[in-house]
Amino acid sequence: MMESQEVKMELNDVSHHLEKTPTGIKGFDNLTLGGIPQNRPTLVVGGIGSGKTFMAMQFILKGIAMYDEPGVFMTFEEKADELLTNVSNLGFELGTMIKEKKLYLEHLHVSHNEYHEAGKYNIDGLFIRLEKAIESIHAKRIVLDSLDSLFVNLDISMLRSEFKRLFFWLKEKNVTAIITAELGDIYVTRLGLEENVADCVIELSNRITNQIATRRLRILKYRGSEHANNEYPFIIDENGLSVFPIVTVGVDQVNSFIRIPSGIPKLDEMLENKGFFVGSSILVSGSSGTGKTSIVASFAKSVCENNETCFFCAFEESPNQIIRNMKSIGINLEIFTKSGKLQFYYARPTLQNLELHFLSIKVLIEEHKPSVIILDPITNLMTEGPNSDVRGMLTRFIDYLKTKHVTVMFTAAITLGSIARNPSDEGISSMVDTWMMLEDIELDGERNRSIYVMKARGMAHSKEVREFIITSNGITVIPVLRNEQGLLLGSKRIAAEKKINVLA
Amino acid sequence: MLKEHTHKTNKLIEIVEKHKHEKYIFHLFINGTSILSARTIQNALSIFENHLKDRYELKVIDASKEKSYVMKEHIIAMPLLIKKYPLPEVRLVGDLSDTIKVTRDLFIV
Repeated sequence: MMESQEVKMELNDVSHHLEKTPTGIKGFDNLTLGGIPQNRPTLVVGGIGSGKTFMAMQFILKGIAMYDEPGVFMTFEEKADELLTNVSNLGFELGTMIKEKKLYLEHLHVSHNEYHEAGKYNIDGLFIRLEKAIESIHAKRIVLDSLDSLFVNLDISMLRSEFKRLFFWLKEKNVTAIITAELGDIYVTRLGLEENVADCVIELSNRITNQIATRRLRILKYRGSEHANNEYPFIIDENGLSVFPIVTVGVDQVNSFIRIPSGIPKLDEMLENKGFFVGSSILVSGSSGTGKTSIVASFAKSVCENNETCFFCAFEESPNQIIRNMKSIGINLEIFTKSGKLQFYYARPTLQNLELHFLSIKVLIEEHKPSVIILDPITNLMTEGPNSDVRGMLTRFIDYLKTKHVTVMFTAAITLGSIARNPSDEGISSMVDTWMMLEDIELDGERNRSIYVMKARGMAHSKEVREFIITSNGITVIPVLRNEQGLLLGSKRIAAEKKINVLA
Repeated sequence: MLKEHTHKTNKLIEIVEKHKHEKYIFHLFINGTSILSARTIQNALSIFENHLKDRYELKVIDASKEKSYVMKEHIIAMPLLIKKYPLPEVRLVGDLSDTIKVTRDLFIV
C-alpha cells in the first residue's frame, strides 16, 4: 500500500518541473542550480560544529530578508535566546522579524527521560505544534534543528516510520523544510533515511589537514535535479555562510584584445610594445631577491595611474612594508591606497587553507570589482598542502578571474632549477598566459639581474634576455650588450658602453 | 520504644488511608479519532476501573482541537497520559497496552 503510493508520488513529481527555493546563501544556489527543492524537506547532515544550525538559520533569515518568505525555526537543542545571540552579529533584526510575524522561533523542550513508555505511540504532538506555528505566520520555510535531539531516547524502531511520516507531512503542508541531523551511523547510514525519504541531502564537514581546519559542503543527493557533486569549502564569517563553487565558473570566458601596460615601458617593448592582455594571467617568477615584488608594484602603480582599481594580496610582507620598500625605488603606492585605487589583502598563509584564501579574495572581488589582482607570492601558499591540490585550486581561481575579466599577476619562486627538482612547479607555469622569468646572473664576482619573457600567449613577444635594473627612480629594462665573450652585464656593460661612446 | 513505633506506624497507615480515598487526576492527550486513540482510552478506562474504581478523574483531551494545550505541555509523542495528582506528575506515552508497566509507573496501589 505504502509502496504503491510512493511510486505514484514519484511519477507525479517527474511530470512537472522541479521547482527550487533559493536559500540566499552565497554560492550554494549556484551549486544546486537554484536552491533546494521547493515545498519538500532537505536533510542537512554533519558532525558537531560543522555549521548545520547556522546554515539552517541563514536559510530562514535570508528567506525573510531577500524573498519575503516567512519562516519557522523550531529548535530542540539550543534555547531560543542562545540562538539569537549566535546570529546577532549577522545584522538581522530578529526582534522586528518576530514582531512583524515573519519569524517564528521556538525552543521545544524535549526531555524524554521524564517519560515512561507504555505501548505504541507516535509524534503527532509535534505535527500539531508545527501546524500551529506554520499557520500563525503563514510560513513558507521551516527548520527543524535537530533530528537527533528530537528522537533522543525514543524507540529506534519507530524512528524510521515516524521520520517518513514527518517528511510526507511536511510535503503536504507546502513548506520548504531543512531538517538537520548529526551524521551518525544510527540515523543516516543504518536506517538509510537519506536513501528512502529525503529528496535532497547535504553533508557538512569540518576537516583538518596539515593542522588547518576547512569547512566543506557536499551535496550527497538531489533527486530530480542535476547538481555539482564535489566537495566545496565554505566559510562562516560576519556575512554569514559562503560556499565557493569554483567549478561553475570558466564556461563563458571572454577573450580580450585590449592591452594593459606593465608600467615599465621597456618591458612593454618586449611585449609587442603594448603590454599584457586584459583578463590574462601573468606569472613573474624568479628566485628570492630578483625583484619580483618590484615588478608587480610597478604594474600596480601603472594600473592605478590609469584610474583602474588594483587589488594587492600580500602573503609575505605586510602592506606597510611593501609601501615603504617600494618608496625606496621611487614607486609611491601610498597615494593610491589613500585614494582607494589600491587595496591590500594581507593574511598569513597559515591562517587558513589556500582555498579559503581564494574564497575570501573572491568575496572581496565581488565587492570591489577591481580590474587587476596581484598575488604576491603564490609559492608561500603552496606550503599548505600537497602541490597537486594547489594547482587545481589555482587553475579554478584563474578560471574564475577570467570570467570576471580580471587581470591577475602573481609571483612565484620558481626557477629553471626548481622545475628540474620539482616538476609540479612547471604545471603552475603552464596554466598562465604570460610568464616572465627573472634571473640572477653571477659573472666575475658581480650579481646582475636579467629578465626574459618565457612565453606570452597570443603575441609575438621578444625572445631577448634583457638586463633589469632597479634604481631609486623605478625599474628599467635595457638591452643586453654582447661581445665575443658573451653577455655583458652590470659594470662590464657600463665599461663597454663607454668604449662605444668613445669610439663614436 | 515499642509505643513510639506503634504510634509512627499508625500515623503512616492514616496517611495511606486518607490518600486511598483521594481522587487521582489524569489528563489523556489523544490526536483525533483514530484507532490508536480509541484503544488508548479503552486501555486507560479498563486499568482505572480495575484499580481505582470511583477514585479517579480522567480528562480526555483531543490535541488536534486544543492546540494551546499541546504547546503548554510541550507535547511531542502521543498518546500521552499525565498523572496530575497526586504528585509527582508522571508522564506515560503509548497506548497503555502494557498494563503492568502502567500500574507500576503510575504508583497505583
